[in-house]
Amino acid sequence: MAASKPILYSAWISSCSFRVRIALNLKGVDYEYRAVTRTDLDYEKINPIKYVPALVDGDFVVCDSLAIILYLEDKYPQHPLLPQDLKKKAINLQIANIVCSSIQPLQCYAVIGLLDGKLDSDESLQIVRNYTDKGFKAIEKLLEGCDSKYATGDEVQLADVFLAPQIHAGVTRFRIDMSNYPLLERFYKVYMEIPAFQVAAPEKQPDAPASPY
Amino acid sequence: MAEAEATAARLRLYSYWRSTCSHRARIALSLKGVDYEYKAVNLLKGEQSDPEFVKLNPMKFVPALVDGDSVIGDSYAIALASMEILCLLSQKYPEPPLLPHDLQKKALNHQIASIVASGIQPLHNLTVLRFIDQRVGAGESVLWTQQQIERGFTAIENLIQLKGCAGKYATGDEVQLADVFLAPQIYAAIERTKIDMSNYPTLARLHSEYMAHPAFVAALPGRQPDAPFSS
Repeated sequence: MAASKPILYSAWISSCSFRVRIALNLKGVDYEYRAVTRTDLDYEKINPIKYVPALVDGDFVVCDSLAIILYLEDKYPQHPLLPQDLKKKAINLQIANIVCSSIQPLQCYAVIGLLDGKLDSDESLQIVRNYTDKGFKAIEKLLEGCDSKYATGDEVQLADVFLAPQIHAGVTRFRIDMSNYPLLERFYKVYMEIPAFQVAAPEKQPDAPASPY
Repeated sequence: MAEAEATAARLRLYSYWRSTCSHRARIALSLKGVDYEYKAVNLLKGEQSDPEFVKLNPMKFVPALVDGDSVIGDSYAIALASMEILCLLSQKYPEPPLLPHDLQKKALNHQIASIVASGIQPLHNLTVLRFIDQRVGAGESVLWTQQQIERGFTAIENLIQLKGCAGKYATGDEVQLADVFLAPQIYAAIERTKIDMSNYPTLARLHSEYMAHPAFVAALPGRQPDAPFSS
């Protein structure tokens, strides 16, 4: 029985969607891209919390980038994203969670707050920078002395999949000065040379506008 | 790490009695019967900024689990590591595992855990609440917290009903990762935010199951050494 391609519900600018696009590309999984906007009322049936991304694999739906990526990790063992070593695995999860629990949700709150008129642009930017700085500084400390090509070794792993979109958003949208975070700045340069990351970038997505930023 | 060293390694959990993230870690360790030394970090007194603690966790968050010479400073990573730690300590794989073998059920557990860990809790932790009170007005953080929890609980209740996955616990008849994350969030919502649980019948029922489970009870905030008036 021929398996149909998984469907990825995504928004071009969503860093959470960017993470999943990277993981799919790294594992060589072909997928169908379906763009979602804030006004798509039907999307609630796919994801009750109305966030992107969501992955539909046959009749199975999974949402939330970490859950999706860990599902892909199990289903497509090629290019594993989590090391076997307990310590290394833990640090990958910790870095992923700093990004997806301590930086991105607050960035999202600031961006939506601005869109909805609850925050002005200075406040919104300040919130993003404050939480980005806290998270990035902590990650720099955690990885102090790192001399590998990527965050936790010479292969791209889970931490890198979460870091790249967060840094990309910081650089392209919020004028974060990456010279404050030398390790992350170094990683970002090599991430954006990898085809799997390039093809997944927001500005390359089907729903990206002509002048993205 | 050599086997002898593994079994002798002393685990230390840095925790604050009321922190829901610490509560998750306490449940995971308690479920798997993993012994640890409790190290209190008083968030209200700012002890998370003590240089010794910052060395352990530069994010200045609890929980942090110190396992020999390694530190895990994140509740999700701790929960997932707790199974492996038990494996190392007892030389056998814990049954039942916190994550089901079935890929779809496993993914659902991660999704529920993520809604709590990324979608609800970060939006009502101390630093954010202080910002809201300063920016919007004193006491506004209470309403804000309520809104975040209600949004997240609506989504989880709908998700569980949509998937028809609940048994005795959130995703079946065994305690799994989703329960480790749900229990602290529901407990805090009821005890501190006074959320009306009548809109979330499944979550309300799960709460009573958790309150009857010894490992969950042992992990409750009021049972911790740093809780005021704890015995």
